[in-house]
Amino acid sequence: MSKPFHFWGGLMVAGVLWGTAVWVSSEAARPGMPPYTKSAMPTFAVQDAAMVLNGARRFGADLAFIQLMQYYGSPEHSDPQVSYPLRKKTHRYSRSDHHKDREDSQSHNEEGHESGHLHLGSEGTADATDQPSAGFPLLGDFALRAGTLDPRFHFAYLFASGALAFNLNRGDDAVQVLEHGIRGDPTYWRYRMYLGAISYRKNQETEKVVATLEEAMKDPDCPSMIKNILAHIHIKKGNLKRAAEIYVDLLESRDPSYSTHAENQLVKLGVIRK
Amino acid sequence: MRSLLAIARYTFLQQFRNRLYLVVVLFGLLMMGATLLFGALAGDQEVRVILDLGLVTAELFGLATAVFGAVTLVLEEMESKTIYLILTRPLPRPVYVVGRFAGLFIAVAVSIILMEILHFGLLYFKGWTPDPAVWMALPMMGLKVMVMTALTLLCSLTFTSVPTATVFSILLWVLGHFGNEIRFMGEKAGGAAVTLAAVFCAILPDMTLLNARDMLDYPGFNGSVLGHGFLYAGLYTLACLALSSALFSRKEF
Repeated sequence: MSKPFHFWGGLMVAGVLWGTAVWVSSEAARPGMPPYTKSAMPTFAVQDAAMVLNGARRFGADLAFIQLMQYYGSPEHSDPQVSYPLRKKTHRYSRSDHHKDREDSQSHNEEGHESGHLHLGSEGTADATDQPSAGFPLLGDFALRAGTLDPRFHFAYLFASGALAFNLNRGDDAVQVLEHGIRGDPTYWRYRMYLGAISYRKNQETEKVVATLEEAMKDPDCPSMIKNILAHIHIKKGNLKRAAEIYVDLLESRDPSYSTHAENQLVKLGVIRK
Repeated sequence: MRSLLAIARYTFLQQFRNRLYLVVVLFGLLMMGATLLFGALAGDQEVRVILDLGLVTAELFGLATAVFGAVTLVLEEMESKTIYLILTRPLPRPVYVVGRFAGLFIAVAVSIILMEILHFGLLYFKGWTPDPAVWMALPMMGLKVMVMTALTLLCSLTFTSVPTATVFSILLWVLGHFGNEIRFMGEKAGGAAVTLAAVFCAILPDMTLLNARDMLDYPGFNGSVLGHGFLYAGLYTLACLALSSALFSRKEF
Protein backbone atom coordinates (compact mmCIF):
# COMPACT_ATOMS: atom_id res chain seq x y z
CA MET A 1 0.00 0.00 0.00
CA SER A 2 1.15 3.52 -0.74
CA LYS A 3 2.46 5.97 1.87
CA PRO A 4 -0.35 8.54 1.32
CA PHE A 5 -2.92 5.79 1.90
CA HIS A 6 -1.28 4.86 5.20
CA PHE A 7 -1.07 8.49 6.24
CA TRP A 8 -4.61 9.60 5.39
CA GLY A 9 -6.07 6.26 6.43
CA GLY A 10 -4.33 6.55 9.79
CA LEU A 11 -5.57 10.09 10.24
CA MET A 12 -9.16 9.07 9.49
CA VAL A 13 -9.07 6.10 11.85
CA ALA A 14 -7.51 8.29 14.57
CA GLY A 15 -10.24 10.90 14.06
CA VAL A 16 -13.06 8.37 14.39
CA LEU A 17 -11.48 6.78 17.49
CA TRP A 18 -10.80 10.13 19.09
CA GLY A 19 -14.38 11.32 18.40
CA THR A 20 -15.78 8.16 19.99
CA ALA A 21 -13.47 8.60 22.99
CA VAL A 22 -14.71 12.17 23.48
CA TRP A 23 -18.31 10.92 23.31
CA VAL A 24 -17.59 8.21 25.91
CA SER A 25 -15.96 10.82 28.13
CA SER A 26 -18.97 13.13 27.87
CA GLU A 27 -21.37 10.28 28.74
CA ALA A 28 -19.39 9.08 31.77
CA ALA A 29 -20.47 9.86 35.31
CA ARG A 30 -17.94 11.87 37.30
CA PRO A 31 -18.18 11.06 40.96
CA GLY A 32 -14.91 12.84 41.78
CA MET A 33 -14.18 16.03 43.58
CA PRO A 34 -15.57 19.47 42.66
CA PRO A 35 -13.22 21.83 40.77
CA TYR A 36 -10.42 23.18 42.89
CA THR A 37 -10.80 26.94 42.87
CA LYS A 38 -8.85 28.50 45.73
CA SER A 39 -6.48 27.41 48.46
CA ALA A 40 -7.67 28.12 51.99
CA MET A 41 -4.07 29.10 52.84
CA PRO A 42 -2.27 31.20 50.20
CA THR A 43 1.11 30.27 51.75
CA PHE A 44 0.58 26.71 50.56
CA ALA A 45 -1.10 27.59 47.25
CA VAL A 46 1.82 26.34 45.12
CA GLN A 47 2.07 23.03 46.96
CA ASP A 48 -1.69 22.50 46.71
CA ALA A 49 -1.78 23.46 43.02
CA ALA A 50 1.04 20.98 42.31
CA MET A 51 -1.02 18.23 43.92
CA VAL A 52 -4.12 19.18 41.90
CA LEU A 53 -2.15 19.27 38.64
CA ASN A 54 -0.74 15.81 39.30
CA GLY A 55 -4.14 14.36 40.08
CA ALA A 56 -3.16 13.80 43.71
CA ARG A 57 -5.76 15.86 45.58
CA ARG A 58 -6.39 13.12 48.13
CA PHE A 59 -2.70 12.85 48.90
CA GLY A 60 -2.46 16.66 48.92
CA ALA A 61 -5.14 16.65 51.63
CA ASP A 62 -3.09 14.06 53.54
CA LEU A 63 -0.05 16.33 53.37
CA ALA A 64 -2.15 19.28 54.54
CA PHE A 65 -3.34 17.15 57.46
CA ILE A 66 0.24 16.15 58.37
CA GLN A 67 1.15 19.85 58.30
CA LEU A 68 -1.87 20.53 60.54
CA MET A 69 -0.64 17.93 63.01
CA GLN A 70 2.86 19.40 62.96
CA TYR A 71 1.47 22.89 63.48
CA TYR A 72 -0.72 21.75 66.35
CA GLY A 73 2.23 19.94 67.88
CA SER A 74 4.57 22.94 67.74
CA PRO A 75 4.87 24.87 71.02
CA GLU A 76 5.85 28.08 69.23
CA HIS A 77 2.36 28.36 67.70
CA SER A 78 0.58 28.19 71.04
CA ASP A 79 1.03 32.00 71.20
CA PRO A 80 1.92 32.53 74.83
CA GLN A 81 1.61 36.34 74.58
CA VAL A 82 -2.09 36.14 75.28
CA SER A 83 -4.13 34.50 77.97
CA TYR A 84 -3.69 30.78 78.16
CA PRO A 85 -6.86 29.32 79.61
CA LEU A 86 -5.78 25.71 79.47
CA ARG A 87 -3.27 26.48 82.20
CA LYS A 88 -5.67 28.84 83.99
CA LYS A 89 -3.40 31.85 83.42
CA THR A 90 -4.83 35.28 83.04
CA HIS A 91 -1.68 37.38 83.40
CA ARG A 92 0.73 38.19 80.60
CA TYR A 93 3.24 35.55 79.77
CA SER A 94 6.61 36.33 81.38
CA ARG A 95 10.14 35.03 80.99
CA SER A 96 9.82 32.91 84.16
CA ASP A 97 6.66 31.36 82.73
CA HIS A 98 8.59 30.57 79.60
CA HIS A 99 11.22 28.66 81.60
CA LYS A 100 8.53 26.86 83.57
CA ASP A 101 6.76 25.90 80.35
CA ARG A 102 9.98 24.56 78.90
CA GLU A 103 10.49 22.43 81.98
CA ASP A 104 6.88 21.24 81.79
CA SER A 105 7.35 20.43 78.14
CA GLN A 106 10.54 18.51 78.82
CA SER A 107 9.00 16.45 81.59
CA HIS A 108 6.04 15.89 79.29
CA ASN A 109 8.38 14.55 76.62
CA GLU A 110 10.12 12.34 79.11
CA GLU A 111 6.75 10.74 79.78
CA GLY A 112 6.75 9.64 76.18
CA HIS A 113 4.91 12.43 74.38
CA GLU A 114 7.62 13.11 71.90
CA SER A 115 5.26 13.87 69.05
CA GLY A 116 4.63 17.23 70.64
CA HIS A 117 0.92 17.16 71.42
CA LEU A 118 1.24 19.81 74.05
CA HIS A 119 -2.28 19.55 75.35
CA LEU A 120 -2.42 15.83 75.74
CA GLY A 121 -2.41 15.97 79.49
CA SER A 122 -4.88 18.81 79.66
CA GLU A 123 -7.20 17.90 76.78
CA GLY A 124 -10.79 18.57 77.67
CA THR A 125 -9.93 20.25 80.96
CA ALA A 126 -10.79 23.73 79.70
CA ASP A 127 -14.20 24.88 80.93
CA ALA A 128 -16.72 26.52 78.68
CA THR A 129 -16.50 29.58 80.93
CA ASP A 130 -12.75 29.94 80.31
CA GLN A 131 -11.47 32.57 77.92
CA PRO A 132 -10.88 31.30 74.38
CA SER A 133 -7.21 30.61 73.72
CA ALA A 134 -5.56 32.61 70.98
CA GLY A 135 -3.05 29.82 70.45
CA PHE A 136 -2.81 28.00 67.11
CA PRO A 137 -4.63 30.76 65.20
CA LEU A 138 -4.28 28.89 61.88
CA LEU A 139 -5.59 25.54 63.05
CA GLY A 140 -8.99 26.09 61.43
CA ASP A 141 -7.37 27.27 58.19
CA PHE A 142 -5.29 24.09 58.00
CA ALA A 143 -8.46 22.02 58.31
CA LEU A 144 -10.25 24.07 55.64
CA ARG A 145 -7.23 23.63 53.38
CA ALA A 146 -7.28 19.84 53.77
CA GLY A 147 -11.06 19.91 53.24
CA THR A 148 -10.82 22.05 50.11
CA LEU A 149 -8.43 19.53 48.57
CA ASP A 150 -10.54 16.54 49.60
CA PRO A 151 -14.06 17.53 50.68
CA ARG A 152 -14.59 14.02 52.06
CA PHE A 153 -11.64 14.07 54.41
CA HIS A 154 -13.94 13.78 57.44
CA PHE A 155 -11.20 13.06 59.93
CA ALA A 156 -9.43 16.39 59.33
CA TYR A 157 -12.66 18.29 60.06
CA LEU A 158 -13.44 16.22 63.16
CA PHE A 159 -9.92 16.51 64.52
CA ALA A 160 -9.61 20.27 64.01
CA SER A 161 -13.11 21.07 65.28
CA GLY A 162 -12.54 18.90 68.36
CA ALA A 163 -9.25 20.62 69.13
CA LEU A 164 -10.72 24.08 68.57
CA ALA A 165 -13.84 23.50 70.65
CA PHE A 166 -12.58 21.38 73.53
CA ASN A 167 -8.90 22.26 73.86
CA LEU A 168 -8.70 25.86 72.71
CA ASN A 169 -12.22 26.80 73.75
CA ARG A 170 -12.94 28.41 70.37
CA GLY A 171 -16.38 27.00 69.70
CA ASP A 172 -17.20 29.52 66.96
CA ASP A 173 -14.11 28.58 64.95
CA ALA A 174 -14.97 24.90 65.39
CA VAL A 175 -18.50 25.53 64.11
CA GLN A 176 -17.05 27.31 61.07
CA VAL A 177 -14.83 24.30 60.31
CA LEU A 178 -17.75 21.88 60.67
CA GLU A 179 -20.01 24.01 58.47
CA HIS A 180 -17.34 23.90 55.76
CA GLY A 181 -17.28 20.12 56.18
CA ILE A 182 -21.06 19.92 55.86
CA ARG A 183 -20.93 21.90 52.61
CA GLY A 184 -18.42 19.35 51.27
CA ASP A 185 -20.39 16.30 52.36
CA PRO A 186 -23.90 17.06 53.63
CA THR A 187 -24.63 13.35 54.16
CA TYR A 188 -21.99 12.87 56.87
CA TRP A 189 -24.17 13.07 59.99
CA ARG A 190 -21.29 12.99 62.49
CA TYR A 191 -20.53 16.64 61.74
CA ARG A 192 -23.94 17.51 63.13
CA MET A 193 -23.26 15.38 66.16
CA TYR A 194 -20.09 17.37 66.84
CA LEU A 195 -22.02 20.60 66.31
CA GLY A 196 -24.45 19.40 68.97
CA ALA A 197 -21.63 18.62 71.41
CA ILE A 198 -20.10 22.07 70.88
CA SER A 199 -23.46 23.74 71.44
CA TYR A 200 -24.04 21.76 74.67
CA ARG A 201 -20.60 22.71 75.85
CA LYS A 202 -21.32 26.39 75.25
CA ASN A 203 -24.45 26.07 77.38
CA GLN A 204 -22.42 24.15 80.00
CA GLU A 205 -24.63 21.07 79.66
CA THR A 206 -21.85 18.63 80.54
CA GLU A 207 -24.09 15.57 80.69
CA LYS A 208 -25.26 16.17 77.13
CA VAL A 209 -21.67 16.79 75.97
CA VAL A 210 -20.64 13.45 77.48
CA ALA A 211 -23.61 11.64 75.92
CA THR A 212 -22.85 13.11 72.48
CA LEU A 213 -19.13 12.34 72.66
CA GLU A 214 -19.91 8.81 73.86
CA GLU A 215 -22.01 8.41 70.71
CA ALA A 216 -19.21 9.88 68.59
CA MET A 217 -16.75 7.43 70.13
CA LYS A 218 -18.61 4.48 68.61
CA ASP A 219 -17.56 5.68 65.18
CA PRO A 220 -14.34 4.09 63.86
CA ASP A 221 -13.42 7.51 62.42
CA CYS A 222 -13.46 9.11 65.89
CA PRO A 223 -10.11 10.85 66.50
CA SER A 224 -8.06 9.63 69.47
CA MET A 225 -8.07 13.22 70.66
CA ILE A 226 -11.86 13.17 71.17
CA LYS A 227 -11.59 9.92 73.13
CA ASN A 228 -8.87 11.50 75.27
CA ILE A 229 -11.03 14.57 75.87
CA LEU A 230 -13.95 12.36 76.90
CA ALA A 231 -11.75 10.40 79.31
CA HIS A 232 -10.60 13.65 80.91
CA ILE A 233 -14.18 14.86 81.30
CA HIS A 234 -15.02 11.56 83.01
CA ILE A 235 -12.05 11.97 85.37
CA LYS A 236 -13.21 15.51 86.22
CA LYS A 237 -16.67 14.17 86.95
CA GLY A 238 -15.19 11.42 89.11
CA ASN A 239 -16.30 8.64 86.77
CA LEU A 240 -12.93 6.87 86.87
CA LYS A 241 -14.24 3.48 85.71
CA ARG A 242 -15.48 4.84 82.38
CA ALA A 243 -12.32 6.93 81.98
CA ALA A 244 -10.22 3.79 82.45
CA GLU A 245 -12.32 1.94 79.84
CA ILE A 246 -11.69 4.72 77.34
CA TYR A 247 -7.97 4.69 78.08
CA VAL A 248 -7.90 0.93 77.49
CA ASP A 249 -9.51 1.64 74.11
CA LEU A 250 -6.91 4.35 73.45
CA LEU A 251 -4.08 1.85 73.98
CA GLU A 252 -4.94 0.63 70.47
CA SER A 253 -4.55 4.13 68.96
CA ARG A 254 -2.38 4.42 65.87
CA ASP A 255 -1.00 7.66 67.28
CA PRO A 256 1.78 6.57 69.66
CA SER A 257 1.50 9.77 71.72
CA TYR A 258 -2.09 8.87 72.65
CA SER A 259 -1.40 5.21 73.35
CA THR A 260 1.57 6.13 75.60
CA HIS A 261 -0.51 8.78 77.35
CA ALA A 262 -3.33 6.27 77.87
CA GLU A 263 -0.86 3.82 79.36
CA ASN A 264 0.44 6.47 81.78
CA GLN A 265 -3.10 7.42 82.77
CA LEU A 266 -4.00 3.79 83.40
CA VAL A 267 -0.95 3.52 85.66
CA LYS A 268 -2.10 6.65 87.51
CA LEU A 269 -5.59 5.23 87.86
CA GLY A 270 -4.10 2.02 89.21
CA VAL A 271 -5.54 -0.14 86.44
CA ILE A 272 -2.17 -1.40 85.26
CA ARG A 273 1.34 -1.41 86.70
CA LYS A 274 4.29 0.15 84.94
CA MET B 1 0.79 -11.14 14.61
CA ARG B 2 4.00 -13.09 15.10
CA SER B 3 6.14 -10.11 14.13
CA LEU B 4 4.13 -7.86 16.46
CA LEU B 5 4.77 -10.22 19.36
CA ALA B 6 8.44 -10.45 18.45
CA ILE B 7 8.80 -6.64 18.48
CA ALA B 8 6.85 -6.40 21.76
CA ARG B 9 9.07 -9.05 23.36
CA TYR B 10 12.23 -7.35 22.11
CA THR B 11 11.05 -3.96 23.48
CA PHE B 12 10.09 -5.50 26.82
CA LEU B 13 13.55 -7.06 27.24
CA GLN B 14 15.21 -3.86 26.02
CA GLN B 15 13.44 -1.93 28.79
CA PHE B 16 14.58 -4.42 31.42
CA ARG B 17 18.16 -3.93 30.26
CA ASN B 18 17.76 -0.15 30.34
CA ARG B 19 19.57 1.36 33.34
CA LEU B 20 17.25 4.35 33.51
CA TYR B 21 14.22 2.07 33.77
CA LEU B 22 15.85 0.01 36.52
CA VAL B 23 16.93 3.11 38.46
CA VAL B 24 13.41 4.59 38.31
CA VAL B 25 11.87 1.30 39.46
CA LEU B 26 14.42 1.03 42.28
CA PHE B 27 13.66 4.59 43.43
CA GLY B 28 9.96 3.80 43.24
CA LEU B 29 10.45 0.79 45.51
CA LEU B 30 12.52 2.88 47.96
CA MET B 31 9.87 5.58 47.94
CA MET B 32 7.28 2.92 48.68
CA GLY B 33 9.24 2.07 51.82
CA ALA B 34 9.37 5.76 52.71
CA THR B 35 5.55 5.83 52.84
CA LEU B 36 5.93 4.34 56.33
CA LEU B 37 7.74 7.48 57.45
CA PHE B 38 4.97 9.72 56.14
CA GLY B 39 2.40 7.44 57.74
CA ALA B 40 4.10 7.77 61.12
CA LEU B 41 3.60 11.56 60.93
CA ALA B 42 -0.14 11.27 60.39
CA GLY B 43 -1.14 9.82 63.75
CA ASP B 44 -4.57 8.18 63.48
CA GLN B 45 -4.54 8.53 59.70
CA GLU B 46 -1.43 6.43 59.20
CA VAL B 47 -3.06 3.82 56.96
CA ARG B 48 -4.78 6.42 54.79
CA VAL B 49 -1.49 8.25 54.19
CA ILE B 50 0.38 5.02 53.36
CA LEU B 51 -2.41 4.02 50.98
CA ASP B 52 -2.58 7.38 49.19
CA LEU B 53 1.15 8.02 48.98
CA GLY B 54 1.76 4.46 47.78
CA LEU B 55 -0.78 4.81 44.97
CA VAL B 56 0.63 8.20 43.93
CA THR B 57 4.19 6.84 44.01
CA ALA B 58 3.36 3.78 41.90
CA GLU B 59 1.56 5.92 39.34
CA LEU B 60 4.16 8.70 39.09
CA PHE B 61 7.12 6.34 38.89
CA GLY B 62 5.17 4.27 36.37
CA LEU B 63 4.59 7.47 34.42
CA ALA B 64 8.31 8.29 34.59
CA THR B 65 9.28 4.90 33.17
CA ALA B 66 6.61 5.28 30.48
CA VAL B 67 7.63 8.79 29.42
CA PHE B 68 11.38 8.20 29.48
CA GLY B 69 10.88 4.90 27.68
CA ALA B 70 8.49 6.22 25.04
CA VAL B 71 10.43 9.34 24.07
CA THR B 72 13.48 7.27 23.17
CA LEU B 73 11.58 4.25 21.87
CA VAL B 74 11.72 5.10 18.16
CA LEU B 75 13.98 8.18 18.16
CA GLU B 76 16.97 6.28 19.57
CA GLU B 77 16.63 3.57 16.92
CA MET B 78 16.41 6.22 14.24
CA GLU B 79 19.55 7.95 15.52
CA SER B 80 21.54 4.73 15.87
CA LYS B 81 20.16 3.59 12.49
CA THR B 82 19.25 0.17 13.90
CA ILE B 83 15.75 0.84 12.63
CA TYR B 84 16.99 0.06 9.09
CA LEU B 85 17.53 -3.56 10.07
CA ILE B 86 13.88 -3.86 11.04
CA LEU B 87 12.25 -1.79 8.30
CA THR B 88 14.13 -3.51 5.49
CA ARG B 89 12.08 -6.60 6.34
CA PRO B 90 8.51 -6.95 5.00
CA LEU B 91 7.03 -5.44 8.13
CA PRO B 92 4.13 -2.96 8.01
CA ARG B 93 5.09 0.20 9.87
CA PRO B 94 1.92 0.27 12.03
CA VAL B 95 2.88 -3.20 13.31
CA TYR B 96 6.27 -1.84 14.34
CA VAL B 97 4.70 1.13 16.20
CA VAL B 98 2.06 -1.02 17.97
CA GLY B 99 4.64 -3.69 18.86
CA ARG B 100 6.99 -1.12 20.37
CA PHE B 101 4.12 0.42 22.33
CA ALA B 102 2.89 -2.96 23.62
CA GLY B 103 6.37 -4.02 24.77
CA LEU B 104 6.95 -0.76 26.60
CA PHE B 105 3.52 -0.74 28.23
CA ILE B 106 3.96 -4.30 29.52
CA ALA B 107 7.36 -3.32 31.00
CA VAL B 108 5.77 -0.27 32.69
CA ALA B 109 2.86 -2.37 33.95
CA VAL B 110 5.32 -4.85 35.46
CA SER B 111 7.09 -2.00 37.29
CA ILE B 112 3.75 -0.75 38.68
CA ILE B 113 2.77 -4.28 39.74
CA LEU B 114 6.12 -4.73 41.55
CA MET B 115 5.64 -1.45 43.42
CA GLU B 116 2.04 -2.30 44.28
CA ILE B 117 3.01 -5.73 45.65
CA LEU B 118 5.38 -4.00 48.07
CA HIS B 119 2.76 -1.31 48.79
CA PHE B 120 0.01 -3.77 49.70
CA GLY B 121 2.49 -5.80 51.73
CA LEU B 122 3.17 -2.68 53.82
CA LEU B 123 -0.54 -1.92 54.12
CA TYR B 124 -1.27 -5.48 55.22
CA PHE B 125 1.53 -5.18 57.78
CA LYS B 126 -0.15 -2.00 59.11
CA GLY B 127 -3.53 -3.70 59.47
CA TRP B 128 -5.31 -2.22 56.44
CA THR B 129 -8.82 -3.48 55.76
CA PRO B 130 -9.13 -4.21 52.01
CA ASP B 131 -11.47 -1.82 50.22
CA PRO B 132 -13.11 -2.80 46.89
CA ALA B 133 -12.78 0.81 45.67
CA VAL B 134 -8.98 0.51 45.90
CA TRP B 135 -9.02 -2.66 43.78
CA MET B 136 -11.04 -0.76 41.20
CA ALA B 137 -8.62 2.18 41.29
CA LEU B 138 -5.60 0.01 40.48
CA PRO B 139 -6.50 -0.84 36.85
CA MET B 140 -7.50 2.79 36.31
CA MET B 141 -3.95 3.80 37.26
CA GLY B 142 -2.67 1.38 34.63
CA LEU B 143 -5.04 2.92 32.09
CA LYS B 144 -3.73 6.42 32.80
CA VAL B 145 -0.18 5.23 32.22
CA MET B 146 -1.28 3.39 29.06
CA VAL B 147 -2.81 6.58 27.63
CA MET B 148 0.34 8.53 28.51
CA THR B 149 2.61 5.92 26.91
CA ALA B 150 0.71 6.20 23.62
CA LEU B 151 0.57 10.00 23.86
CA THR B 152 4.31 10.26 24.57
CA LEU B 153 5.06 8.00 21.61
CA LEU B 154 2.96 10.33 19.46
CA CYS B 155 4.81 13.36 20.86
CA SER B 156 8.20 11.75 20.15
CA LEU B 157 7.22 11.13 16.51
CA THR B 158 5.75 14.63 16.14
CA PHE B 159 8.60 16.65 17.66
CA THR B 160 11.56 14.35 16.85
CA SER B 161 13.43 15.82 19.82
CA VAL B 162 13.66 14.02 23.16
CA PRO B 163 13.50 17.10 25.45
CA THR B 164 10.59 18.69 23.56
CA ALA B 165 8.64 15.43 23.50
CA THR B 166 9.25 14.92 27.23
CA VAL B 167 8.14 18.44 28.14
CA PHE B 168 5.01 18.23 25.99
CA SER B 169 4.09 14.83 27.40
CA ILE B 170 4.38 16.06 30.99
CA LEU B 171 2.41 19.18 30.05
CA LEU B 172 -0.38 17.03 28.61
CA TRP B 173 -0.40 14.90 31.79
CA VAL B 174 -0.76 18.01 33.94
CA LEU B 175 -3.41 19.65 31.75
CA GLY B 176 -5.30 16.36 31.56
CA HIS B 177 -5.78 16.50 35.32
CA PHE B 178 -6.88 20.11 35.12
CA GLY B 179 -9.95 19.36 32.96
CA ASN B 180 -12.55 20.10 35.65
CA GLU B 181 -10.91 23.40 36.47
CA ILE B 182 -10.62 24.39 32.78
CA ARG B 183 -14.36 23.73 32.30
CA PHE B 184 -15.12 25.64 35.50
CA MET B 185 -13.08 28.65 34.36
CA GLY B 186 -14.78 28.52 30.96
CA GLU B 187 -18.21 28.57 32.60
CA LYS B 188 -17.19 31.46 34.85
CA ALA B 189 -15.94 33.48 31.88
CA GLY B 190 -19.03 32.62 29.82
CA GLY B 191 -19.65 33.13 26.09
CA ALA B 192 -17.08 31.68 23.69
CA ALA B 193 -14.87 30.61 26.58
CA VAL B 194 -17.29 27.74 27.32
CA THR B 195 -16.86 26.30 23.81
CA LEU B 196 -13.14 26.96 23.84
CA ALA B 197 -12.76 25.14 27.17
CA ALA B 198 -14.85 22.22 25.86
CA VAL B 199 -12.69 21.90 22.71
CA PHE B 200 -9.50 22.16 24.76
CA CYS B 201 -10.73 19.47 27.18
CA ALA B 202 -11.75 17.19 24.29
CA ILE B 203 -8.25 17.33 22.78
CA LEU B 204 -6.52 16.72 26.11
CA PRO B 205 -6.57 13.24 27.64
CA ASP B 206 -9.40 13.14 30.19
CA MET B 207 -7.33 12.18 33.22
CA THR B 208 -10.06 13.31 35.62
CA LEU B 209 -12.21 10.43 34.35
CA LEU B 210 -9.40 7.94 34.96
CA ASN B 211 -8.16 9.43 38.22
CA ALA B 212 -9.86 6.85 40.42
CA ARG B 213 -7.35 7.36 43.23
CA ASP B 214 -9.19 10.56 44.10
CA MET B 215 -12.65 8.97 43.89
CA LEU B 216 -12.17 6.30 46.57
CA ASP B 217 -14.60 7.82 49.08
CA TYR B 218 -17.19 9.02 46.56
CA PRO B 219 -20.46 7.09 46.42
CA GLY B 220 -20.82 7.24 42.62
CA PHE B 221 -17.55 5.39 42.04
CA ASN B 222 -18.75 2.04 40.70
CA GLY B 223 -18.42 -0.43 37.84
CA SER B 224 -19.96 2.03 35.38
CA VAL B 225 -17.13 4.53 35.95
CA LEU B 226 -14.65 1.69 35.54
CA GLY B 227 -16.33 0.57 32.29
CA HIS B 228 -16.33 4.10 30.85
CA GLY B 229 -12.71 4.48 31.93
CA PHE B 230 -11.66 1.30 30.13
CA LEU B 231 -13.55 2.27 26.98
CA TYR B 232 -12.24 5.83 26.96
CA ALA B 233 -8.62 4.85 27.64
CA GLY B 234 -8.76 2.11 24.99
CA LEU B 235 -10.18 4.42 22.33
CA TYR B 236 -7.85 7.32 23.15
CA THR B 237 -4.81 5.03 23.12
CA LEU B 238 -5.84 3.53 19.76
CA ALA B 239 -6.37 7.02 18.35
CA CYS B 240 -2.86 8.03 19.46
CA LEU B 241 -1.39 4.82 17.98
CA ALA B 242 -3.24 5.37 14.69
CA LEU B 243 -1.91 8.91 14.50
CA SER B 244 1.61 7.73 15.42
CA SER B 245 1.44 5.08 12.68
CA ALA B 246 0.26 7.69 10.18
CA LEU B 247 3.19 9.99 11.07
CA PHE B 248 5.65 7.11 11.08
CA SER B 249 4.48 6.00 7.62
CA ARG B 250 5.62 9.37 6.21
CA LYS B 251 9.10 9.19 7.69
CA GLU B 252 11.92 8.81 5.17
CA PHE B 253 14.94 6.76 6.20
